[in-house]
Amino acid sequence: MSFIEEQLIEEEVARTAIRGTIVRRIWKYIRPYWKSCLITIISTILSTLCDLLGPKLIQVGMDQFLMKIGDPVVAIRGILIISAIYLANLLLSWGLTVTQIRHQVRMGWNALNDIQTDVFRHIQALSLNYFDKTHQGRIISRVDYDIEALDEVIVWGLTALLNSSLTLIGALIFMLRYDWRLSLAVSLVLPPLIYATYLYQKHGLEAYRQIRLKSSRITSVLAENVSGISVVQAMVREERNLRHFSQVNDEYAEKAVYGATLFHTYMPFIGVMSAVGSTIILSYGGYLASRGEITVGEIAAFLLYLGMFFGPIQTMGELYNSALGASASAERIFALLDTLPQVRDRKGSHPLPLISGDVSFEHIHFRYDTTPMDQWILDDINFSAKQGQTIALVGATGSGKTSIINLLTRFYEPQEGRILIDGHDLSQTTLFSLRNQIGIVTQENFLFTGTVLENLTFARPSASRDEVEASAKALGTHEMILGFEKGYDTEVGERGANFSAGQRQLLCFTRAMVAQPRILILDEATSAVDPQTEALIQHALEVLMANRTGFVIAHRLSTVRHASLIMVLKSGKIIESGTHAELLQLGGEYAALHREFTRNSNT
Amino acid sequence: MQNSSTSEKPTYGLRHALGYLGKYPGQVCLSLGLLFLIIGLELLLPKIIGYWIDHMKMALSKGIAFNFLAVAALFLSLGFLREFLRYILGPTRNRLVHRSLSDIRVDFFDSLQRQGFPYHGKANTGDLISRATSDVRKLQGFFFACMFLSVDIVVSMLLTLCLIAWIDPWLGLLVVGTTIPTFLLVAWFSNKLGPQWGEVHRLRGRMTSVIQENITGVRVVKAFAKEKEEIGKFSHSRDALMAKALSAMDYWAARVPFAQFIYGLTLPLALGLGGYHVIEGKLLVGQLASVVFYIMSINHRMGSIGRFMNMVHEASAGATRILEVIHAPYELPNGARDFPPTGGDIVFENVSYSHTPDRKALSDISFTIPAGECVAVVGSTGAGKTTLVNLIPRFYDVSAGRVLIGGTDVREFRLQSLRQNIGVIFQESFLFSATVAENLAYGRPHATQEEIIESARAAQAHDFIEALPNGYNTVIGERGISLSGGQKQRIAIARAFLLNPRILILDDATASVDPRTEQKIQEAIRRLCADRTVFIIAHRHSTVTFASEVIVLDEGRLVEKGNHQELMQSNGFYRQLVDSQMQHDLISPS
Repeated sequence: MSFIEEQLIEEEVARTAIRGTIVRRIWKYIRPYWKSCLITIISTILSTLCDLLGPKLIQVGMDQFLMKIGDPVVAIRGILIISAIYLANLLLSWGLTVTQIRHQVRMGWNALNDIQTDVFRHIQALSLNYFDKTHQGRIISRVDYDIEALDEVIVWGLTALLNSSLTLIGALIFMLRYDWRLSLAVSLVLPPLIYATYLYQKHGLEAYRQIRLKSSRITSVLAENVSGISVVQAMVREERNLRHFSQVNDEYAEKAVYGATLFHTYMPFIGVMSAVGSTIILSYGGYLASRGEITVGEIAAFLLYLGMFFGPIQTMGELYNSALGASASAERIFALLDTLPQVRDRKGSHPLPLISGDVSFEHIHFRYDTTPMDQWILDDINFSAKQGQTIALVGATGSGKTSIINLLTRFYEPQEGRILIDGHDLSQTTLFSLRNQIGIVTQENFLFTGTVLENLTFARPSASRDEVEASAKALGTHEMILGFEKGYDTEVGERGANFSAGQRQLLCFTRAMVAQPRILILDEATSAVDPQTEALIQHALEVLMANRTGFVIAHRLSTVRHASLIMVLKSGKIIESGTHAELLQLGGEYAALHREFTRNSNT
Repeated sequence: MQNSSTSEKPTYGLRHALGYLGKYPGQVCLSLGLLFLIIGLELLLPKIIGYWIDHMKMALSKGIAFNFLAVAALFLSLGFLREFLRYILGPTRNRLVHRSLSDIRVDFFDSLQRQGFPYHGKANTGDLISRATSDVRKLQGFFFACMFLSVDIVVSMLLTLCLIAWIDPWLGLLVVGTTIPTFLLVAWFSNKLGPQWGEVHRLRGRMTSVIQENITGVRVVKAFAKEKEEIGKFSHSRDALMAKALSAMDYWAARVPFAQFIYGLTLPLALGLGGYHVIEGKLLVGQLASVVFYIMSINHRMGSIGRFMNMVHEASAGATRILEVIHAPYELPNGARDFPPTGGDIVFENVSYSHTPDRKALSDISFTIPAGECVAVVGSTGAGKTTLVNLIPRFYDVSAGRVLIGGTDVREFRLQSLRQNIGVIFQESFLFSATVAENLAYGRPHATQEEIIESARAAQAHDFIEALPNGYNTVIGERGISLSGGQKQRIAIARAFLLNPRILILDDATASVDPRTEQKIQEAIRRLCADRTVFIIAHRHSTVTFASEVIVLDEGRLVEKGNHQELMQSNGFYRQLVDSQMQHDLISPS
């Protein structure tokens, strides 16, 4: 099972005490909908009162008109009046219920909508350092699972709490008004009931955790087997894997049955308490009735009110549990909202005007949050690139190539030194105006769901179809796109799964071309494609790089040899720089890399 | 999903799914028996209360002695008995249901493992997983609903109606009069609501995928400064969800409480009518009280009708989707012969293969490879290279012609025996999330530590494995550390080494690795080629050079065959292929 999934399950079952600050912050989101909130509360209280009135009416009917043998005409009229009142009560209760549901949903969903939008908006503002530290699954679960957890409590919890507590208290009050001794005797069932509910919630949560873990294990074993089916079959592992899967299933079933056993111990216990309560009424109540201290109708009402104890206690137990869960969710949500973006527009920063593309790095020192404090990822980097030049970055993994790109795009900010574009210090400009003029193609080749055209205009939604086609023609990708099932209108599957790696890459190039950026960055963008596609990519690259400042990171030295400037990085320092010819002449690191490369590709 | 060759497509439904419960008849009978007992006890309790009230009334008015304590004791013991039976029933029926679901999942898994490459090529992983998880979960709901909820609802409602009618036929008629319309209304509304909730669910899924995509693609979003547009996209999907959810909820609020109201009418009407009968002396007040308690106990069952309908509705689609996979026909009939221990020459005799009826992936290919040779298969993308080698371990079966090993048609071998003797290194090095050692020993789980290390050394993987935090016991994959493409490939090679197969098939991936790693991989492949028959699908032509034989494919046809030098001299298709690769991949030889 994937580790992150396990952690997400742990988060799901985490419980936190409800703190005042959390409640206040949630209240801020509910306050704009206070009218709905008020209507919900009033209608809930009234409808609960309506429900409480039922047994009372039955008692009055029984005692006044059915138990005594009086004038039948009066009795019949009386019982019909009681039924009519009961009917009216029912009608009122119906109207109140409808009002309550409509308003509670409006209040809760609107408030949640605002919270969720705030969270999503805030995530957009956060810098990449946050995404480096936090697993995607977690961030997604903040916007997704945690909101759902709040939904349960904010939308349904408030009315459930109100309804349950009022019902419980109301039933007790009605009972007390009939006879305090019998009420006290019946109330004896409450403490064990509450304790049992507490125990069940506690152990039930742990059982739930175990069940979730085991069930996600089933999924991951299955998923792995399906994705690796070719290896499974090639290595003839079917029988062994089937045994393993069956065992994982058994483990799950065991936990699920344990969970069910807990539930089916708790529920019968409630049933036993209900029987005990009724027996107290029938015996002690019978004793009181035989002495004429309580009426038979009141006994019936007692039995009916006793029935109102059990639902609310169960509900409040569940509610208590989900409120603690929601509180943990809320803490996580607010922690995210309180995280300040590392890179953000400073006060007084100005938008970058249309740039021509001169870039210079001055004494740049940089490390990530995760880098030890005595190390630099980039150690005193200095260079300048002129408008229209192509700069190639070469070096082993971890030498700092990508970090240079990360600073140029201001995904991160250097600890020391400054970066200038056309003479503007990047730290004094707005993020939007910078990134709007930079195009970047990374190895990931990420595409969004939507049509090909929508993906190509991602960076510049205003681009017309003609402009897009012109860009594609210039790059040589127009033919390829027309070859797709529906050309430019072909739907892109999740993350572009319906295209080959090479096709995705060419689409990303086209996307960058449509964006018409002033500075273009290619990060290891050319790899893993067949020779024909590679030829196409090479051509596209030349077109893309023309007339704009370009930064290229590539393993294949063939792609960098035409660069205006090649910088060789090692442990965060530029150790060599110059043109292809100059560096070969120098006979240093680049020349050595080049020798190895040639030997491998040419035999 | 279905094999397209079968013309009529059998449909599987809930009836077939119920067959899985039928495997445990004892437990089914026990569960149902307990359920009936519980229902019976539940119907007795209001009767006792009615009896108590009547006798108490008589005791009060006429002074007839009434031992109310004995009645209370009876009530208590029946109540205890009922709860005891429930306590037994719960785990019993849960065990039954989970056992059946487990059987379904295992059958599902078994069926998937037996399906060949054509099936898996078409199938979508996410879809298969959702069938095994969410569809099975729906079946779980259905099993409970069908086995217990439905029996509970139908039996107890019918019995209650009979009991009420027996006490007072007019009251019985009244209850029938409110129950039937409520029943129909609830059924009708839940039918109407089903699609609406489905739509809400779909919109929620769409919003979730907007969120997921945004967060997975965060670099692209930031690089193009598209945060505002993304917020707009999110709000758009959120608003659509909100609007639909609110309208569905309003629809619900306008109807379902109304149905409950209709049923609620039973009580005041029964009170009026029953009260009238009591005053007329046709009915005892205690009997009326029992009726009131009966009406209340039906009330909460009314609520579960809607739930039951939804469960059945959802489950029937789910059952079909699951059983479709379980009963999908297997495409590979098994042979009976064992693979010869010495291997043998590999012969392709007029082999053709087509993935789809209208297009041949391979046509009429014939060649012979003597045992122990190393063959390179080259050709441009889509030429049929992978398809060709996949015919040897029967990942696909030929459409025409024969593939022979040592003179025997591969289809005559036992599948297990055949595949155990063929090692395959796929283009994508799929590793399992387990330790490095477990991954290496995947094909031979009983290999010794020494053998594992030896194979890793041969594959040039030992050094980097040793450098991992826990060496060979380091967990890799999702759960542990992630390896680079080149490292994964070397582990896949070592895994095949350990198998020591007679025939080896290697789809040499052009993973993006730096020149040093590339050299190490080449060295590993070179060693693997010694003393066995090897097929290499070569993407970089440097791999070709240590092959004694090259097979050149173009659009599914064998166009050239020979060694590297011969083919270069003959100036044919192979020469063109090599030259075109040279042009942009290579720098002029120094």
